[in-house]
Amino acid sequence: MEVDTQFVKDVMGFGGKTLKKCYQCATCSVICPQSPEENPFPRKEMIWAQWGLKDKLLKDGDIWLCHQCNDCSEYCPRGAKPGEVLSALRAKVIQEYAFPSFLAKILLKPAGILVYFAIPIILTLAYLAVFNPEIPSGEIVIGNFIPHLHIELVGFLVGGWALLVAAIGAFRFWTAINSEVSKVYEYKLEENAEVKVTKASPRFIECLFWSIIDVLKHSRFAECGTSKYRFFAHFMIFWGFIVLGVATFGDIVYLYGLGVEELALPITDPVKILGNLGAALLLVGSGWAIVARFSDERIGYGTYFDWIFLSTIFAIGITGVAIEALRYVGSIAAYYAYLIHLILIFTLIAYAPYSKFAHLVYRTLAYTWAKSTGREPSK
Amino acid sequence: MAGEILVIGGGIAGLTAAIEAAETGYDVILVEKNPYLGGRVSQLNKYFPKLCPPFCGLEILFKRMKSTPKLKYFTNAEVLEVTGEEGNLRVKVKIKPRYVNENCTACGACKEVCPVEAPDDFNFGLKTKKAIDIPSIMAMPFQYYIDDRYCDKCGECVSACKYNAIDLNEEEKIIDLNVASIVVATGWKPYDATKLDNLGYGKFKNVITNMEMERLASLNGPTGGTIQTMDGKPIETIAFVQCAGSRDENHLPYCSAICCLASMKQATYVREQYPDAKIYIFYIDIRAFGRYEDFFAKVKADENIEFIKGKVAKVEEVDGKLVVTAEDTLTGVKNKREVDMVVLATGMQPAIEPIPGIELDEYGFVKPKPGIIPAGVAAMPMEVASANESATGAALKAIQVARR
Amino acid sequence: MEKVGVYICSGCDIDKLDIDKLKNVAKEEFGIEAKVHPHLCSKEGVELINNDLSELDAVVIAACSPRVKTAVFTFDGKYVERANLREGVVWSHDIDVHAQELAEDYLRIAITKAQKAEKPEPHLEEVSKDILVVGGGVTGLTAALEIAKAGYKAYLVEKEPELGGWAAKFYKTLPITPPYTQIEEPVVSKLIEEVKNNENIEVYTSATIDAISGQPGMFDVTINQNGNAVNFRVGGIVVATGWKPYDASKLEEFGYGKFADVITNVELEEMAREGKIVRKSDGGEAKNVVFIQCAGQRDENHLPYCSSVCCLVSLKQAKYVRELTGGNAFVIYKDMRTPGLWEDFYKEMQQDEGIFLTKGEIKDIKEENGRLVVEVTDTLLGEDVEIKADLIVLATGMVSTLKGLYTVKEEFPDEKTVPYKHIYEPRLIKSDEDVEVLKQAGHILNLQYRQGPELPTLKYGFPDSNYICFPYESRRLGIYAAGAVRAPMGIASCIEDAKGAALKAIQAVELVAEGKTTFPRTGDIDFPNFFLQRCTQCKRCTEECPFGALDEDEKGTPMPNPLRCRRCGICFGACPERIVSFKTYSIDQMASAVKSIYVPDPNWEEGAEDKFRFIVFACENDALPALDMAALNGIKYSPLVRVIPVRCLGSVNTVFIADALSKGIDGILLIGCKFGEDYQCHFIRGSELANRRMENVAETLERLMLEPERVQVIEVSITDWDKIPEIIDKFVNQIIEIGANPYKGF
Repeated sequence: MEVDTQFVKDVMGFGGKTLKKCYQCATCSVICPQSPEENPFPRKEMIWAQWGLKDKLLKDGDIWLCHQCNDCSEYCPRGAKPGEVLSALRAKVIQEYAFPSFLAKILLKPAGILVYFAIPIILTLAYLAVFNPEIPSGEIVIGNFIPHLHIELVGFLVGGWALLVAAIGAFRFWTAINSEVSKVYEYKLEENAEVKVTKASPRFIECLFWSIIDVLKHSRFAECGTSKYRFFAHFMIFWGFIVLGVATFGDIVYLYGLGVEELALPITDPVKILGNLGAALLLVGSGWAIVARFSDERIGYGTYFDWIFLSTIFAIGITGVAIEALRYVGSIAAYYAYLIHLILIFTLIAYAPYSKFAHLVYRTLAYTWAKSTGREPSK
Repeated sequence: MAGEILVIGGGIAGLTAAIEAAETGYDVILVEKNPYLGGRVSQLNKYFPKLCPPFCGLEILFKRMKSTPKLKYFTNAEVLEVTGEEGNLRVKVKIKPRYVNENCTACGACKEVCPVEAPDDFNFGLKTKKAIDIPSIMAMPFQYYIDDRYCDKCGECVSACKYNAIDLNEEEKIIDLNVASIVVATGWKPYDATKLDNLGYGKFKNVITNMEMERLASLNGPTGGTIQTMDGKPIETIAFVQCAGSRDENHLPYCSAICCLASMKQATYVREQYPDAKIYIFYIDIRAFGRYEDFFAKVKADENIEFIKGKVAKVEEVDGKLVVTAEDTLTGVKNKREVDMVVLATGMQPAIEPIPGIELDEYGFVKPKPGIIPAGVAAMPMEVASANESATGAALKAIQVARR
Repeated sequence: MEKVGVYICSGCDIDKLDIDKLKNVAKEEFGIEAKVHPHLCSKEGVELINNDLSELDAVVIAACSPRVKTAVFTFDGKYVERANLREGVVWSHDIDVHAQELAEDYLRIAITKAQKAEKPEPHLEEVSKDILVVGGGVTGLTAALEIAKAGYKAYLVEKEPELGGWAAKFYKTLPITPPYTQIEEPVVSKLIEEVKNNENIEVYTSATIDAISGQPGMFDVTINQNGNAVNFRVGGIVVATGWKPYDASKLEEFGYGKFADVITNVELEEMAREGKIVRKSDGGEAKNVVFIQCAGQRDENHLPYCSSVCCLVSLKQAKYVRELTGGNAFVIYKDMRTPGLWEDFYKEMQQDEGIFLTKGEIKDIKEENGRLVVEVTDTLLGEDVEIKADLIVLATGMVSTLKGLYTVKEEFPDEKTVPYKHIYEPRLIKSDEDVEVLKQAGHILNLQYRQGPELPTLKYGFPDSNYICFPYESRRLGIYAAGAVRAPMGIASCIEDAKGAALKAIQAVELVAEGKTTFPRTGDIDFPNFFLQRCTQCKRCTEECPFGALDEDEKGTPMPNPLRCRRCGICFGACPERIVSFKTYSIDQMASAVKSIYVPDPNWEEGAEDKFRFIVFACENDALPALDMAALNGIKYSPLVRVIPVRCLGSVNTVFIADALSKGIDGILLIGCKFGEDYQCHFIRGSELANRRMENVAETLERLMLEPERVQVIEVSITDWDKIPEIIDKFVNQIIEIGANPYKGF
């Protein structure tokens, strides 16, 4: 067995700086509403992290079952903040599985923020240089500035890239977490002690289906105690994205299905209503999360990894709303806001596999794995 | 009265410091805030590892006190303030009325007529006492006292007393002492278990503290020494929860040093009364240092006592039974145990309240400074033997100042 | 004493008895006019006594238990005897004719004892108040300094050429003052400076002790400094000779001796002092260091105890590795033992990302491809692990420097002597030569005591106290052990301990200067006198004295050392010739007290059970208070029993038994403290000795055709107050069943 002190330092750098404080009392494993009976987390993850056992942690699906409600950190007698350590481990896992790894290394560090914004800015400048679009005068019509087709083409390209990279990561991750043979157990309280019973493992597709339902319903997240707000904020952001996704789909249907020429839709249009609802959810959700991080010390240190993601979402919401508002007042600033909005959306999508966004994939897979191996929360 | 030594606290450490200094030939004044001497240990059933009764040592200490005229003591007394320098310390002491004077023969006639039932602090409220009562059967001084929080001054006791020992009009006194040095042996209090919200104390009646267990097991306790649930049922299974509030930054960040051994000792109480009982001790590290390891080895060898490495973080009531949960960190499985009673090994918190002139550290332990010498648990958590070592050493430091 | 005053209190229900009858007993049987007061402990009551004091030598207080109102009934220079009528009679018995008879007997006993008592005179000698400190490590240095600061002269003897002991050999030390978080530079150099500069301390290095003779207050010490003898006299002694590391060559299971790169924690300190941590095998820097805790500790096959400090030491040494090599340090522990505020140190050391901690058991240590590998099971990592190591450091334990030395005879019994039950692992010896060989192994104090040259040990070679309440109890008055010789401990504890032992040594010289003894009979000036003309040199007293107070001349005649004496009376109980007596506790006095009990004429009729009489000899430390508490709880017991308090069951001479039986007493119960491994007897083995003596008595009884059940020994503790009355009644009923003592009336 080899310990990896660099890994320890990395995890500490990713926001797990309290990890060395753990003295293995296992309060966390019991307090955690998500933790299963057999090999519960996060106690074992804490010592693996202390010892820098990278291989074990990369194969560990459990860290994705944590929603960082911080019940564990609240009760941790040592101030080791397992919630934050697991969050840091997740960032580290995303970095390890993302392709290409050099990009992941750059993008996940605060120092990489220049690259982070330089790519979309350069691309935008290049676009502006090549197509030299002029700021249209008169009524604000976004499509007159940059054609929707361009946006869609770039969107598909970037989205495709993100999907590909995410798929590579997902594949690596899935293979890893399934490399350890695990049986499905069930516990029954008989007499005074518990009895372990082996159960048959359910099918993958079934597990995936129910996992997606769990994700949509946030049913696991709902178990969290200490930071209840996180559930609501996350729920809003999550459904904000879905609503916005539906609205975008509506836009495409308008453009190419119904032949609508321009998307400057009236505020009463159902798609517009959806878009505005989505934006509102996103803004309130992310805004809440930001405020709570400032006001509630139990939630812990924000890390670069968290902040870049959270602030990007918030900024996308703000710029989106700004475009709309500016459009209504007829200010040409709407076009500039649009450019910023695009740059932000680019970072969100293109860097999704290297950012906190990737947790959508990892967590869903981890849910699926948990269901197939019976790692349900203990009662 | 310069040149004297003041000892604050009449528990085992304070008594030891005072007696050792007095027997060495120095004038000593001891002040104790309770109406009796003996402190925490007088509430214990037995000591680990010998399983011998604390009364045995107290008896000898009291006997030594009686034969040492150089030692004077005040009960019901609290230090209000310390000023001055090493060698010339001025101390203001408040002496609260006892309402019963030395004429008292402890015949008990007053208690018989007293109409007021009051909660008995000595037994952590597990039983009641009378407003006029004797603190315990081994109380020193062996003299009744009136608890003025409860007494309604009806005067029944005054008429019942044949020895003119009760004065309901006794008033608080403030005395000024001038001493060379002060030994602070103010001891400890049990950590407030209601703060441990995940462990069910105060929520479930059969979750008790280790100190309450001592009273349950004591012959002069609320049950006459029978260990039983609060519903009066015998014990079939019992769980001891170690580090309940100790080694915990949310509560007491330090280790209380005694709780592992105290729980093992209490496990032997249960075993003695219920030979078939199953006993679970949940721990993080068993701290049986030095020769106490022998005691650990003895308890561990008992097949009815199971040690589980993992801290209990949840106590629930399921169908009227208590269920404790901990992860066994050696097997990596969450252990649930259904038990009749849960004993929280709550830790030791320094008992001293802030006194001007005495400095406390971040945990509330007394900081040593010239002329002011902490002893026993006032200095740091420790068991009785260490407390007496500490007290004996403190007596030396006090003498070094007093002899000048 | 000739002039005895008798004062009867009629308060606290005592007036339920017939006080006039009691007065008659005093008047008619002893010719004393007793005075009665309804509240004897009141000012007026005491005044009544005070007014008569000038006419009296002794005062008999017939009132409550001697345990209460002690200060009130203490009269300067007067002998006081208490007849326990309250707890002993009215509170523990139904008031009837039997209770009256009981009270009368208690009065007889008390008056008899007072009459037979003599005025004690202290044994005064010209004493030295200087203190010898043996051992110049942290404990010894601290003790010497603290003694000097208290105004006493200290002699410090160290066998090495330099002061400082182990602490001077260490690279750095654990913190000794709060906050307990930082490793400190060794404190010992500062201590050495202070000791050397203190004019009240005389230091002898390269010196060992050739002999210490005498008694507290007058110990004559001969030291050997580089071959030169130096003599001086001291009053008290602090033994601070510290510890030695456990012999690691016995730790084959950890690869010590087999692999060059397996070393001990002590060896690591030496290495760190050199400034680098390297593989011993090839001198390469040790980048991966594995610390194995409890190496040969908490282990029946090696040291069964925990050395208390190794967890902290290994955490400290792990930090050395981090600082000196930047490598990884692994600590494999059984339990992380950092009690009390030391938790803060653990917390601090944990922070280092290169320190890896887990509970674990060592399965194997092997060599693979030229590298050491430690196999660990039962870890917190969820699996067994193998750790590659450049260096393995064994946390070996601390062994008392007394371990292995010839200490006292009783710990080295021959095949014929029955060892005491409290002696842990008695080492059998075969001959005197065997003893000589043992003595060659070394010595510390070389006491010229009949019972042996060193402090007796308790367990594992530690001369520790067996009393939780009295950690400085020593079986050699004036000699106190401190630091790691007494119990395994770290530097901070050693410093604390040194102060405690220093105080006890100072206290001892102050007490003996006034002819007083130490606890539990603190302040007692009375000491045993030996009427040696009648001595038969049976050696029982010299062997049985728990405190080694008696030496012997060539013939075996005891040579008392009153200043070593703790006044337990075990010698007095031991002597078959009855030649040992105190002024206030004599054979004649006790035997007369027994004989003063009124035994009714024999009456063989059925149902005449109330004519039976029993004596309970009760230890004044535990059994007597327990009986008092039974009375306070209203628990009643047979009124046919007369309780006579004794200093210790060990002070019950068989002559009292013989006298009682010949007087017609039907049964005798001795109630004392628990003996054996966890003995509670305050005089170590008094109750065990009583038990042995009564076994012999039982044989004698059988020869006399008396039932051996008539004399029994019971062990109780002070809180057995609910059981003692039961025990007494059971005994009474058992003897009534057997029948009356046939010697009645002879």
